[in-house]
Amino acid sequence: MKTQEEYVIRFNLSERIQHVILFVSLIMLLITGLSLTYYDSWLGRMMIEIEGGLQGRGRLHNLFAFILIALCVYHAFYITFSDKGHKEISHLKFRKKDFKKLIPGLKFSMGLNTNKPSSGRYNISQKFQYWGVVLGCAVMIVTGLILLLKVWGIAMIVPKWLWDITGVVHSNEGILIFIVLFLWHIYDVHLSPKIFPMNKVWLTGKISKQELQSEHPEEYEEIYGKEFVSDKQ
Amino acid sequence: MKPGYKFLRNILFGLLVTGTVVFISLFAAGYVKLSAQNTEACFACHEDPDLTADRNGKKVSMYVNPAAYKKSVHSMAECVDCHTGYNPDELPHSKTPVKVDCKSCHQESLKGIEAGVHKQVNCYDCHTKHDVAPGKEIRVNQTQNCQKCHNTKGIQQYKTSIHAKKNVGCEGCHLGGHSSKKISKNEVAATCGKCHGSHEKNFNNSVHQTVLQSGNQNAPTCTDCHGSHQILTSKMTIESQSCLKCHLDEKLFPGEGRGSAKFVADYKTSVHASIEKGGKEAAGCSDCHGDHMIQDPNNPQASTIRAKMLETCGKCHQQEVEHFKKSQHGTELMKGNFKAPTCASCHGEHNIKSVVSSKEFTKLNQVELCLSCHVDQKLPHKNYKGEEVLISNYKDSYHYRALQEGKLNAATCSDCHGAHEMKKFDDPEAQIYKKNIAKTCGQSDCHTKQLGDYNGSIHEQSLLDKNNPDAPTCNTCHGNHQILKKDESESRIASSKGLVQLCSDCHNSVEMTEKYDLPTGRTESYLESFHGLAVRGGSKVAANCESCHGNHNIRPSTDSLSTISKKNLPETCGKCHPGAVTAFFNTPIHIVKPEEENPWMYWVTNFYIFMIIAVIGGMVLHNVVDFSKKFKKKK
Repeated sequence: MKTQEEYVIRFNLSERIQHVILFVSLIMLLITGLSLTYYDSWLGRMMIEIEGGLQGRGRLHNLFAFILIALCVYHAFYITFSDKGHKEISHLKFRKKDFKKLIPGLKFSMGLNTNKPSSGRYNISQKFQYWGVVLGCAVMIVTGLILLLKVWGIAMIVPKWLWDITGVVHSNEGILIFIVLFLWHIYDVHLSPKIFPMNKVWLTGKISKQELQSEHPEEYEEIYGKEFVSDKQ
Repeated sequence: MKPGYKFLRNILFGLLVTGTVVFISLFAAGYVKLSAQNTEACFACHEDPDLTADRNGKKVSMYVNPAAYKKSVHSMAECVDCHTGYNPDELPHSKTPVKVDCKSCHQESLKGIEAGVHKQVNCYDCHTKHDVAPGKEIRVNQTQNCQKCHNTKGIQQYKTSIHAKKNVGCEGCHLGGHSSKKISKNEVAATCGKCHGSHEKNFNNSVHQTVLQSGNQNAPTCTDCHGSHQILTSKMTIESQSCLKCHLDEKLFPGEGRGSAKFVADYKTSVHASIEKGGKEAAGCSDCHGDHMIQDPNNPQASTIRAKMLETCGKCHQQEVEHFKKSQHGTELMKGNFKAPTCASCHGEHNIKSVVSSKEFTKLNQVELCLSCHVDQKLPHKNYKGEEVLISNYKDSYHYRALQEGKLNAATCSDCHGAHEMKKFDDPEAQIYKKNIAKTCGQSDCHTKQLGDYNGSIHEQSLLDKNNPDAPTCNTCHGNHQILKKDESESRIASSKGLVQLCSDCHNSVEMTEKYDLPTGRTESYLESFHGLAVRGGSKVAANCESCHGNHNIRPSTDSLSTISKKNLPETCGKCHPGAVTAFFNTPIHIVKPEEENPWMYWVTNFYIFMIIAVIGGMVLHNVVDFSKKFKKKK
């Protein structure tokens, strides 16, 4: 490999720290949450034991929930008021062409189509993952707050049928987030053959020019212009 | 024959005839002359009341009341007829006093007396001297006559005796007259039996008589208990002393076992002896042992043997014995079960103590008493399910420990089972019959509040009104003998987990829910709820069955008094969740069929299940395809 490979800064430090906080808190929330969902299993019991019993588990879960909430609030400010954040969110917005590329993309993935659909700074899969996390966090935070406040008695204005749904949603959404993150995102950034063992961009924030060109051709064009076509095909 | 001899013979005959005639004439003439002369002559001096004579240095009255003499049967006799050997012309009439010998005339009637006790007694000691009364007259006042000589203190007390009042004199027993006699110990019963026939008959069948006839003179007869002369009323007033006179004597009754003096001595400490009723012991020896026909305690006829004890004690303790006869102890006893207890088994024999004021019957000691038989294995105890249950674990119960701490209102055996009225659990009259248990536990001074709550509860109603034998009552949840306090860790109801398990015994049992049409899925839906989850995790604050449904006062939600009636739910839930409002409760708490009870929840759950399956499927598919493609490309 070339030692002095050209690279582009993809994520700034703030974003990288946000990501670390996000995945640490999500992992902790999933561990503490799922151990309660599967309390009846040996694994669940063992995890709760490690987490300091049911009460310790609850405290841990709440702690990381607040970290997550704080992060979400910060992130909301970040994407609204910082130039970088604002720019990022506009890149993450779904556009018509994204959906047009959906079918060709799937075809390409299945090997039915030789042309990989070009994508911008974020491809549709990444957009889905981002918005999935946003939606998931929103649902979990809202339902989580209802469940938390229920114990405190303030949420007594919430009818019981909604409570019951809240409980169902919170636990199932947790499972869903777990599946999405581990089957999709972890695959994408760790297990995928080209990337294994890890896409280091979350640590360094840098993406090589070559990778940028192959994975995000549209962004590459925006930065370097169209003159340099590197498609080896 | 010579003529001179014949003459002599005639002369002699003549002389003899003449002499005889003269002698008779002289005698007759002399007798009349002497009697007329002597009695009058005697009274010439002896009617002087002041006439005295000197006898061995003592002045003795020589006065004879002429009036009395003339009235007496001897008025036709002359003084000298009795007072022989006197020369009236001399003073004193005789140098040595000559005893009057009544035998000279009354030979026949004195034959009897010579064989009797009075053979040394002078006739005139009874018949008096000059105013001699005939037997007929003496008999009227015989007792007074006897007492002239028989004046010892013991015999003098006869005057106050019942016999004196009823005019039974000495002769009544001692025959009197010339045939008066001593009564030997062996004859006493027969003597008294002349009048007191039925008692004699009883006495003859008694152990006392048996022993007496075997030659043991220590054995008592009538007089040993009733006294001889000072017999008072027919009822013995001194019975204990009478019996104890002998039965406390360690020489007569040695040893320590039954029948010994030491064994009998316990009586003195008993409540029977210490409480007095009308001046006597509340119960004396004879009240239990019988009186005349007293028997050896081992004799099947004895009033104190097991079979007869109920009858004996029941003479006074009627109510207790009636209760006892109906009790399990009593029925077993009457069946002849030799293990069954009778009065003495619990109360003791002689040392019977008051159940109220004695140490023997304190609640703690009562436990030992009952357990002395009802200890495990010794007398297997079965509960209503036919399982052998421990009784000695009562000692682990809070009831027992409270007693040990001095809280004397804590329950001991008899508080729940009854004392004399103790019956088996399957007897509808038993205090521990399932339908009566609540009343027993809730008796005054005990768990009255809990009984008040339980009354009207769905459990009480299904037990009493619907005759549902499986419906719970106090002991179903609290246990039988080993009842613990609620906050004691070994109690089934101490922890939420234990309590949930307890309620689930019935409410999660397929058998019970089908048999009594109980609502199903209560336990599962609870365990899956947040409350249940927290409780399973060991939470001590999260709600368990009792938190919402109450404990003793459990009622169906349709009952307005129920803690889970719609009206009361805000208050019930408000205990933990202040501010709960009625609007909160528009869906059931236990969600068993979500599609009916909370369709939203049902659809959301299904949506998630679908999503989870779809995402897993989609992702796996995507990853496999992507992986294989990239893998190839990488190569």
